Amino acid sequence: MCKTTINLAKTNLRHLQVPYVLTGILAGIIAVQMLVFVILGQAGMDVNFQSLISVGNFLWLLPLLAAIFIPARNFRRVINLGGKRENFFWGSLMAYSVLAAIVSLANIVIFYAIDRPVIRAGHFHPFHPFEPGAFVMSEPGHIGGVANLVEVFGWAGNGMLLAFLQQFALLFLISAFVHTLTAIQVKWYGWVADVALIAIISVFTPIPVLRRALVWFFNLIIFHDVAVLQVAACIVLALGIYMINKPVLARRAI
Amino acid sequence: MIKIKNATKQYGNTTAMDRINLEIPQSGIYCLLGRNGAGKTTFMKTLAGHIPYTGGEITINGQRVSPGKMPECVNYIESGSVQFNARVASLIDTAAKLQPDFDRDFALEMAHRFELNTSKRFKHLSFGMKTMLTAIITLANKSKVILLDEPTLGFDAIMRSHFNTLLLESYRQHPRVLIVSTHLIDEIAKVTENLIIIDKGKLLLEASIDDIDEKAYTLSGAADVINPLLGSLNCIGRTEVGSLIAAHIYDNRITPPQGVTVDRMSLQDFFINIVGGNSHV
Repeated sequence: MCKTTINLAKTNLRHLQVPYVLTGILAGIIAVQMLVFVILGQAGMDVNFQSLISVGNFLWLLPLLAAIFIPARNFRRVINLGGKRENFFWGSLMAYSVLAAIVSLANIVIFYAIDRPVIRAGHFHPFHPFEPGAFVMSEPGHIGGVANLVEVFGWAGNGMLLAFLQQFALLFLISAFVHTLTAIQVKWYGWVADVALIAIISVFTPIPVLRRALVWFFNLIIFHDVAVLQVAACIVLALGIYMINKPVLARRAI
Repeated sequence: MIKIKNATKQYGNTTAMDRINLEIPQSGIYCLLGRNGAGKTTFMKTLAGHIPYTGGEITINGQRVSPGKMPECVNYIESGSVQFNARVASLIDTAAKLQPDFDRDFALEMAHRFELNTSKRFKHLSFGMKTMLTAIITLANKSKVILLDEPTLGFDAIMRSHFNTLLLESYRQHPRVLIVSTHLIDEIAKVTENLIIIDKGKLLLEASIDDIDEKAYTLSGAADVINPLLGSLNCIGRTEVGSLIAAHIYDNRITPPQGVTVDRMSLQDFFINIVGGNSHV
């Protein structure tokens, strides 16, 4: 990989202040909320019926926002600094890989080091030790828990490494998809893509046959039993979608 | 180096570039002139591969230019370009990392010479300083072709003089093709060697400044003496006051008959006349 492409990826990662700040603020608010619950739980106060959304989930916002800001904001600035489109194409992809890996790793750490052992077992679930796959949102009469997408999507049961890879692959796919969708908004086919997406969701959902196709698709990229297949599907799909950017970027005016 | 054959660019029904043929075989500072909307920016962006052309062919160093294949040896920048809101020094560093042929020392030296505060963030710079920084970043690139679109927009007289120095210094250190579009004709004439004039998307003229200095002149005198001379001369404009006439010529010099004076035509007057802005009676 050429040095200029790596430098472009670094430039992209360095100039994502808004996504960093927004993600930081949201994650910070949730972290403080969690801390308050933990303190209350430790103090013996009644925290029944409370369930929390893990801080780690909010980190997903970072690659999502980055995939909007990089094509919409950074592209022009990179070109104005003498960057080449080819380098921007690969450099952005590299930036998404790094962000997806960092967020996936951070969420895995949060899930295994904080969500599961400390909050749920220690403060929210003191009488019922954690059982794999026994995720319970707050049911009436039960003690609530902390919801982390690693568990919601059923990746936790596959072990730490596979869970990391599964999350990485899905985040990578989301980034590639959002980047492409953002990049094409300046063209007529961007609007066509928007309408097509809305149509897919609204038409596929009520019709059973199409709904099954939709379920099959989401099962493949998120919930598939065979983790390796899910990872492979996400990465292949992400690269396929991202390749659409090649001609789009070539024709994009600055 | 640059070959443009019948290059055409259309935006719907509007023709921004109309079958332009031009060859720039060697290094030099070229001034691109044209009225507002003449097609200068389109011409430059097309040359840089930022926008596709709809007809003809553009090649640079034998490589066909297209947006999918922006020539590596071309660097284009427009005035008022947005940049990351980073410190000046950081922007220069970033540019150096994104461009393999970037002359970082030149950029820092020029930033120092033109009193750019390298610790200031981009958005805290004045408009003129922003433009100067962008020009420095562009000129510090060792690309074979540099395209500067209205780089002195928003500059005061001193800044314009600084910019001309920067342009000459850059050319002295790295001789290459520098194409500068501007409206400040007489000022750029101090540094440019060649003139390219575009009007309504068409190439009107490509000539050296020396050639224009030699061939562009004004004949003044009585109309009945001047008018017979104009039949064999390329008259690009005329101004009549009563029985007196001032004819603006772009042709070989003649020996004026008695009663006719020959004056040098300023570049600005030449431009105004050649684009048809001063042909009135």
